[in-house]
Amino acid sequence: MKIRRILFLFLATLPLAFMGCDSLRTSKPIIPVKEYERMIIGRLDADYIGTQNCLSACHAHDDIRRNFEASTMGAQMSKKSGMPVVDCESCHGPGSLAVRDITPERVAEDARNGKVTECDYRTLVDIRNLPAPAKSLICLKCHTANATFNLHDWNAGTHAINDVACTDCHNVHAGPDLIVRPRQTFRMCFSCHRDIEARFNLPSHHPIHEERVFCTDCHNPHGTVNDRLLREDTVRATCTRCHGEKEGPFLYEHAENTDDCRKCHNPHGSVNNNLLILSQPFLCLQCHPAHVTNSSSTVDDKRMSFTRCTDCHSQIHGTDIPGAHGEGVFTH
Amino acid sequence: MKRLLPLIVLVCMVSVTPLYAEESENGVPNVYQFPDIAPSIDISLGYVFLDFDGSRRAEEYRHPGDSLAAAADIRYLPFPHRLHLELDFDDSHDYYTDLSYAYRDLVLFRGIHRSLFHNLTNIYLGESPSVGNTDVRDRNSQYHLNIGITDAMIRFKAPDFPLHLTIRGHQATKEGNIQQRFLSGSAYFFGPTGGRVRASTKRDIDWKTTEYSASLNSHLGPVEAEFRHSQKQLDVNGDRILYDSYGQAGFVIRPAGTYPHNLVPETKGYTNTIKLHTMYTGRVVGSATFSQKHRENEESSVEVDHFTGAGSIVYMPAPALTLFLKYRHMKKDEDTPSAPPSYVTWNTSVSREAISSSTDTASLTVRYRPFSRLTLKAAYTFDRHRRKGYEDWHLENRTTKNRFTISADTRLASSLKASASYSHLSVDDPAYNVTPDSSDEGRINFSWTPHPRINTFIHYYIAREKRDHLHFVGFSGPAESPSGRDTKKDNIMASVTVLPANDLSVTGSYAFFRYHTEQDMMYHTSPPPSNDFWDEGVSGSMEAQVYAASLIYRWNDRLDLSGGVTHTLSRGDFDPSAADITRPVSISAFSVLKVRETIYTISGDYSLPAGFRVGVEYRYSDFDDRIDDPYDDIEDGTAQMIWVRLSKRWS
Repeated sequence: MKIRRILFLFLATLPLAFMGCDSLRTSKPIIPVKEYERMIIGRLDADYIGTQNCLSACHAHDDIRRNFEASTMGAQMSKKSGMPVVDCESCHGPGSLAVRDITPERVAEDARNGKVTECDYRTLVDIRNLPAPAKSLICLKCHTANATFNLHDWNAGTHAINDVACTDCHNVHAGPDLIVRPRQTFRMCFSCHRDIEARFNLPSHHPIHEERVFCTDCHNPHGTVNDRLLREDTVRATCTRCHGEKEGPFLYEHAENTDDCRKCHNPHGSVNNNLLILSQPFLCLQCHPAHVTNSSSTVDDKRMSFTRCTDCHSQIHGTDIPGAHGEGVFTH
Repeated sequence: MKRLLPLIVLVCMVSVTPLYAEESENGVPNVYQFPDIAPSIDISLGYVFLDFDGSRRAEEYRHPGDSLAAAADIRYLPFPHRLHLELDFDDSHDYYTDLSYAYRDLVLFRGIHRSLFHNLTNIYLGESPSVGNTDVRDRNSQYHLNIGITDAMIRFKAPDFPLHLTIRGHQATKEGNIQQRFLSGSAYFFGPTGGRVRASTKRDIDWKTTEYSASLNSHLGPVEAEFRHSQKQLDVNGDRILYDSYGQAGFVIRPAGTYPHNLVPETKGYTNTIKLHTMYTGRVVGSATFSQKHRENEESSVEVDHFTGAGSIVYMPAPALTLFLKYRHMKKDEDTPSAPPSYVTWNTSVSREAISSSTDTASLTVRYRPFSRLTLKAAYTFDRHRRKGYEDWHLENRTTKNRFTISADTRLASSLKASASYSHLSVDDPAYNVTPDSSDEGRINFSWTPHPRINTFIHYYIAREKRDHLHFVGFSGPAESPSGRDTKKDNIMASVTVLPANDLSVTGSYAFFRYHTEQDMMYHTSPPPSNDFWDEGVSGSMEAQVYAASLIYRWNDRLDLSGGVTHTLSRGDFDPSAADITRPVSISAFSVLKVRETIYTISGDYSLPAGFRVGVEYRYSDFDDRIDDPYDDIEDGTAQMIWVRLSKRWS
C-alpha cells in the first residue's frame, strides 16, 4: 500500500512539470557562484560568433567538430528544444577576439607558405588552468537543469571534494561517445589510484586487468550516499549484485559480518585465495576460539581441527539449515 | 510494473515525434543538418594458443585450450541514428560485447555482455594413511565456472523537456561445477560412530541473479525528482541442495540418517528509491535520497527490510571555502521465523534471531584554499550503530565511532605535486575483535616531473590500530582476553617513467603491502573436561612485493613493440606458541604461505598497406608455490599463450 501511495504521489506531480514547461525554460533560478562563474564566462569584450564562424576558416578542428556534433550534446542543437545550445563557445567562451584577424584568404596564404594559422587562444577561457570546481561548473551549468541523475550526489561526493573535475575522466573531444568505455575505465581510475592498481597484481584478484570486471561495477565515480562511492547501500548489497547466492537473508546469519564483506575479503586483491585478507584458520581465530584437542589426542584428531575452518563450516556466509546439534554453526 | 506500462508507451510515442524541422525567425523552415560522418569498421581475426602445465592458477581466468579469436569495432552514424558495436571474442567462454544505439537525443540504448571463464581450485583434503577422518570423493576433478554478466539500459527522453524514463536490467549468471567441502560423519564432536569427517565432492551449479528497474525523473522547478523501482531475484538450479548419510550425533541429538546440507536458497526482493536535488550550481546545493528495500528468502521465509534516508548540503560561502555536510540514517529490520524449514527434522526452533540495527552517520568536511597552489581539508565523522537482539550474540548494544581527518594537497612547483593526510579514529564499545578501539592512518603522495622526459610517483600509507581487550565466547561464556590486539598496515608504491627517446618509453614500479596483527587467541580443549586457554601475543601477517617493468618502443611508422615483466612475492605467517597446537602438527599449517608469481609479456604490431595490421603477442605465467604443501589450496603451475592476429580497418 505504501509503495502505491508513493507512486501515486509521484505520478500526480508530473502534470505540474508539463504545465510549467514554458516558465521553466525561461526561468533558470541558478544562484551564481560569482567568482567561478566569472572564470568560465570568458572575455567580456568578446562577442559570441557561433560555431560556423569559429571554424569557417580553419580545418584543424574538423574532427573535433564532427565528433561533437555527432554526440548526444550535438543532437540537442535545436533552438526550439529549450535545452542549452551547446557549441564551441559554450565551454571556450565567446570567440570573436580569437578569430579577429583570421580570414579564409589569410589561412590560404599561410598554407601556401607552409604555415598553420592559429587562433588567438589567449582570448578564450583558459580551461586547462582553471580550478577543478570551475572546470566542473562548465559542464554543470548545463547539466544542472536537465535531470541528469547520474550527478545527484556529485557535489558532496568524494571526487568533487578532492578537486576531481569532469574533464579528468571525460574527454569531450575524444569522439561522438562521451561516455568512458567500461573496458578502459580501470586505466583511467588507476592514473590516480596507483596503489589499488598494484593490488590487482596480487595472486587473488577480480579480473580487472582481464577487462571482464569494471571499477564501475562496484563504485559510482559520480558520487553516492554510501561509503567509498559504492553503488549500493551496503558492501553486502554491492558484492551480491554478482554474488547473489550470498545475499540471503538466512535463518542462521554470521552475526553482522556478512553486511560488510571487507571484514574477511579485500576486493582489490590479496595474496590469499578467495581474496581473503588473511589465510585460514588465522582469519577466523581473530574472533573465534579454535577447536583444540589436548596433548593426548591423535595426529588425525589434530589434523581435523587444525584445518581451514571452511572445510567444515562451508556455509559461512549464512544458511537455513542448523548443524547436527540444532544450532547455526554453518556446517550444513 | 503494469502501472508504469502506459507511461512507457506514452513517453515512447512522444519521443519519436519529429521535432527537428522548425521555423526560424523569418518563417523559413530551418532543419538542423547533422554532420556527414563515414562509418568506420575495424575487424580483427586471430588465434590463441594456450598451454597449461600444472595448476591453472597461473592463468586463473583463461579457458584451457586453443581457440579462434576475433574483435570488431563498428561505428555507424546514419543520423539521426547512431550505432556503435564493440566485440572482443577470445574464445567461446570469454567474450565481450558492447552495443550502443541512440536516436537523436530521445532514445538511448546501451547493452553490455561479458562472459568469462574462471578456473577453480580442487583442494585435496588428504586420505589415510597420511591424513585420516577425510572422505575425498573428487580426487583429480577440475573445477571451473562460466560467468556471464549482462547490463542493459534504455532511456527515453521527452522532446524539449528533461523528462526521462529509464529501464535497466542486470543479470549475473554462474554455471559450472565447484568443489563442495562439508562436515560429514556424525557432523558432531561426540558420537558412537564416525565423529567428524571432512568431505569433499563435486557440485553442479547454475545460479542466476536478475535485477530489473524502471525509473522516471524530471525537472520540477526548484528541484529535480526521480522515482525508481527495482526487483531482484536469485534463481538456483543445478545441485540446489545436497543430501548425505550421517552417523548418529551425540547420543540423543540426532539419529543416524540422511539429512540435507549446503542448501542455496532462492531469494527475491524489491527496492523503491526517491531522489530529490536542487540545482547543481550555486552557493548552496542539496540532495536527498530515500530508499526502502525488501528481501526475502523463499526457502526459510526470513525477511529483511532496509530503510536509508540520506542527505547532503554543500555550502560555498566564498570560492576559497566550501562546507560539505552529509547525514545518513540506515535501518535494518530482520524477521526470523521461529522454526527452520520443514525438512529440518532434528530441530524445531531457532535459538537466536538475526541482529536488527540502525545506524546514523553524520559528517562535516571543510575545504579551504588559501591560495591556488594549496588546498586544506578537515573532516569530522560521527557514526552510531545500535543493535537489537545483541544479547544472544554477546555483542555490545551500540558502537560509536568518531573520526577526524585532515589533509593537504599542494603543487609546490609546476613539476611537483604532493598530498598528505592524517586520520584518527576512536571507537567506543567495538563489537567485533577486528574493530579497533583506536586507529591512526597516514598517507602521502608525491608526483614529480624533474625533466619533461622523466616522471616519478611515490605513495606511502601507514596505519596503526590498537585494541585493549578482545572478547571471545568460550565454554564458560564470554571472556575478555588478558591483553589486546595491535595491527600494522603499510603500503608503499613507487614508479618512474622515462622517455630516453621520442619513440621509447620505459616504466619501472615497485609496490609493498604488509598487514601484520598481533593478538591474544583463545582455544578450546576437548574431549571433556572442556575448558579454554589463552595464547598471548600471537602474530599473523600477510606481505607482498610487486616488481614491474614495461617498455613501449615505436620502431618506425609501421612497427610497434612492447614488453613487460611483473614479479610478485607473497608471504603469509601465523605464529602460535602453545605446545598443544603446534605439535605434532601445527595449527598454523594452512596460514603459512610463500608464493612467487612471474608474468612475462612481449608483443609487436606491424602495419601493412591498405589498412591491414598484423600482430603477435606472447605471455608466460609462472605460479610457484614455495612451500609445496599438498593439502593446502596452492599448487605450482605455468601457462604459455601466443596470440596471432590480422586486422583490417575501413573508414
